[in-house]
Amino acid sequence: MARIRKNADHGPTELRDLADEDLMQLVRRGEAEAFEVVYERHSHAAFSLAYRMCSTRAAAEDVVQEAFLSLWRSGARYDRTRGSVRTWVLGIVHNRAIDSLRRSVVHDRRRASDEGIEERFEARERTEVEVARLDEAEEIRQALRTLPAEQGRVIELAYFGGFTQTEIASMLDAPLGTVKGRMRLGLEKMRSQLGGLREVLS
Amino acid sequence: MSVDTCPRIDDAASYVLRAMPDGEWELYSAHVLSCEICSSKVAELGFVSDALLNGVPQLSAPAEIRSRVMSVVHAEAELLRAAGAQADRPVVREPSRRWRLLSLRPWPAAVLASALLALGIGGGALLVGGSDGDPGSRTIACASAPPGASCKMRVAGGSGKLLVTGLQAPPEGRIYQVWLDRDSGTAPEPTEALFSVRKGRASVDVPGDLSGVKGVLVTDEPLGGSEVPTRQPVIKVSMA
Repeated sequence: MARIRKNADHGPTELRDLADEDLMQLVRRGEAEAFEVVYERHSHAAFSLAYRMCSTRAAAEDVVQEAFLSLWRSGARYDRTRGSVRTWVLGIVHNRAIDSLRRSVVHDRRRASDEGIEERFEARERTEVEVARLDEAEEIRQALRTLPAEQGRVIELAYFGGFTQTEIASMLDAPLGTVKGRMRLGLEKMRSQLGGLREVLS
Repeated sequence: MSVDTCPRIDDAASYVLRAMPDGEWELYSAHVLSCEICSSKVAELGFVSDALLNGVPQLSAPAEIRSRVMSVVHAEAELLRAAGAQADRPVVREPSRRWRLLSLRPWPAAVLASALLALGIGGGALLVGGSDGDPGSRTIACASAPPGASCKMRVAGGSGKLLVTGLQAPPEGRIYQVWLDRDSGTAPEPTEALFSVRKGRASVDVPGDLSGVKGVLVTDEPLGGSEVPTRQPVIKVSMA
């Protein structure tokens, strides 16, 4: 439950009824209680993404902490015309995770399996919205799985592994142009499959 | 360049996937602003990269992250509220049980000796102010502060407030933390008072009872604070 102060301008119930975009208006004014509701709504997705990329709990925790403090201090930068708060938050996490991966001098970039990840943390009760998001997430993963293997591979390495296109070309012993082409073709196929999600995710 | 294609269009995918090295990414960003073909492709593929963010298996975020994040956020919000638009982002909460427990941990002798030597604690406190209208209050000048900075601490009823001006912001990714030195033979006690500064100023409530405290210290620490100081103090206040 959010820790809402009694003398706050907005009560906890009122805050929880607000849309993310409205909460961000309050965060911009420095209202910690509004930020806490934003944190509640998106911290699990943020941690999931960070863990998916960093592979270790400690690194994922650092990334999420840095990302949310950055979000708190730069709330004014959120522009609702560019997408949802959730996507904005996850974009910050993604950038932080990539920075973290590329900073690592000694870094085991092998990704843990999804099944292994799921087993390491307790499940929790989920709201209807979260259940719907799980369905959407599965649809997105399914679209990725149905790509030709070489296309899915380069997307995985780049987006979740933090590798540059040059590194990927070297790893796969493929020309750089081929890697770029595979990325583009893969994303275009996914776009055609996920067209129905555009409204949901925007 | 023809009107319906661009030799750099294949870069759109590696751009939205952030597979470009940093310098190249910025260059392509500039190109996108002036190329309608690439701009359109980036928007088209960007939807997919956004979707991928939401496509990872969902886990529960550990509660510790929330505690660390919100401790900083509440502290900064409180300082903003207290000082208004000119305020520094800020600090101070009631000490939690975790922090009280941490304060009981033994302090490595070598680190402690080093810290105390650096602090030079033991000199008398300089009383610079009167009672502020309260016979039980006093104002103490800080025994040490960085060049260009000044600070003082108001003490009343066993609690204190640290007032700082001219202090540089902590290094990136770090935050100032207040410590209590209760005895020269034990470790400084961590507090939950974490703060940053804006325009060099901060007003920080020092948590806990100052009875028996010989010195109040400030160090810069990783966000969320530390169990033991990781840097030499930048501010010290001698209460003796």
